[in-house]
Amino acid sequence: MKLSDDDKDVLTEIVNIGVGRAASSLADLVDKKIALSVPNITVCNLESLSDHLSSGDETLDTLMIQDFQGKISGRSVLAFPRPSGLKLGQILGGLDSLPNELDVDLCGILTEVGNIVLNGVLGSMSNIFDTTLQYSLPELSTDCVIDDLVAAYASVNQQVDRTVIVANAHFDVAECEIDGSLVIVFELGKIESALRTILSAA
Amino acid sequence: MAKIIVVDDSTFSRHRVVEVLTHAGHLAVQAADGQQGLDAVDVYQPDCIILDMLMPVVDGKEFLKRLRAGGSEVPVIVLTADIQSGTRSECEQLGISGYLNKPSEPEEILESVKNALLQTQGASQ
Repeated sequence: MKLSDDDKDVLTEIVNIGVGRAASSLADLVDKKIALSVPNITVCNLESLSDHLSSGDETLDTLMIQDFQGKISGRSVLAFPRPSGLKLGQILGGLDSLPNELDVDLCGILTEVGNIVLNGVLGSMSNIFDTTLQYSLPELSTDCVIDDLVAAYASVNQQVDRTVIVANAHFDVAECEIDGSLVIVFELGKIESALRTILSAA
Repeated sequence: MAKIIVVDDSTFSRHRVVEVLTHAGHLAVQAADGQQGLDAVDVYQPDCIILDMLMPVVDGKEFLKRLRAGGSEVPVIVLTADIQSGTRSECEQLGISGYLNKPSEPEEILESVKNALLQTQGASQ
């Protein structure tokens, strides 16, 4: 499977708009500016997935997950290295010092952050595709890395050729030493079909 | 002062809204999912409800369906991270007074509550 240049251009723009909306929500929550990268859209197989999900030297292991189903389906993940997750918890939990670990309260806060941010990007895409998606309840994972989480979803939901489309945008929160990634893995057939509809209407 | 039930499974979001409401002089009752919200409606007979959409047990849409099926006309303000036009339309068809997206500013929440309460007063006159 190969995305045409037009497909890739449209998908990049759609994800870009959604990521912008999501970043705006995160900026409102922490009351800081967010610097965003242009989303990188990659078609890759599961074996090379980790090459496309890296975030410098940091391990993305604080993961907020929301799956979506409908005209387009897939898994969205808001991913932070643990120090960034703790910092975010400190800011939103109103704590005086940086916590050593994520307790129940901080996990609840991060789960809701995931809900708000991921709904920003998914809802924006849904509106552009003129559809309504069904969302899973947001979940927080702190005991695996993003590669495993995305691969686990993809291996269950993708075709036998083990190819996935991954959208990955990196962001930095100003003055806070918080950085992370927003990753979406799409179910192949549905996103191709949705992109065709958009392109044929253009 | 109005009696307002805040239905949201996120303690973080619920507390933020409750703080805004109590600071403005309202009485806020908390419910952690739609079923708890429906139970609280029976007990407290609220003037207004602030409702999340994506929740376990009974979600926001099901809450609205059951509330209206039971004959309640209490104003409901949806406060959700879901920005989909389709979700908003479905909620409007089920009868809501306002639709806010998270994160909302305190002023937006209080303005929506004020409008919802005015609608109720207007309807009862």
